[in-house]
Amino acid sequence: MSASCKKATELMAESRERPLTWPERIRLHVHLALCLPCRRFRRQLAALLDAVRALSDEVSGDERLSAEARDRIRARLK
Amino acid sequence: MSAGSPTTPDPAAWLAEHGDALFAYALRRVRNRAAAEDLVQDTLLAALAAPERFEGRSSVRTWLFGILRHKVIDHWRSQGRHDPRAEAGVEAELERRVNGFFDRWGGWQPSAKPRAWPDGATERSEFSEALRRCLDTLPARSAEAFLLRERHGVSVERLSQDLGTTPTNVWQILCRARVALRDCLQRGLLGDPPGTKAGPSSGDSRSGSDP
Repeated sequence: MSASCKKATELMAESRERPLTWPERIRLHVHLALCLPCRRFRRQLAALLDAVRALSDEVSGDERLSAEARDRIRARLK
Repeated sequence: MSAGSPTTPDPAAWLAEHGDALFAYALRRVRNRAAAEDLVQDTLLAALAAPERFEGRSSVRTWLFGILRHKVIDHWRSQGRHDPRAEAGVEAELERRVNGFFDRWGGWQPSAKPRAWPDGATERSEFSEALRRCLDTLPARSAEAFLLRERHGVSVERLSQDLGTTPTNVWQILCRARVALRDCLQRGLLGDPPGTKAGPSSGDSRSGSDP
């Protein structure tokens, strides 16, 4: 028996948090074998999560402290 | 890198060296400049009050970021106490959006069906820009939970305490965030405004290569 795309998607998202049960794994794999969009979902989700971990903390222009905020904070630290 | 050694606390140097980075982090989490400025200030004040907590095991920057992360969590806790329903409302909207990706039988709607992404799309620098924009479309608390989970490995139990909600809810928030982010990225990569019909998915050279 195969899962629906919605169920398969939920299982793939949940498998990040818990090991799937054997029946769930079988349903998911049967579904993935038959469903190209869900195989893409799996691949793209993995790529997206890799990219989230690789996001840099670099700062862009509008994410800088304003001069006023900087002065105010500096004054409080005295 | 010697400036601001906590053995001789030099908060002005901390502010000069790390202020922008701390602010950018806080701003991405709380999406409000005034609140982010307050968080930076609170972080530096806390660091100044307890420089002995810095044990030299890591850089000053890492130490300050550790304090800031806790300040952001405190911010969410107090927000949750003040207005728990506002955040629950936007989260319910995300739930409806994600449910809308599927038809009544649980199949993909044509507009949401995963399609092939351009070759190498995920390696280009625009991808991380698109990712940031998509994170901003999530409800703020959902984005926070997602980032803490995926980037910092915080447990679901811990998140439920920190964000003032149940583990089940955190679980659902995380799963929805993953599904919604993929959808948002696809629309960004393929230039697909929400609600438009997907074209035929031709030319996916990698379609047969799934393990």
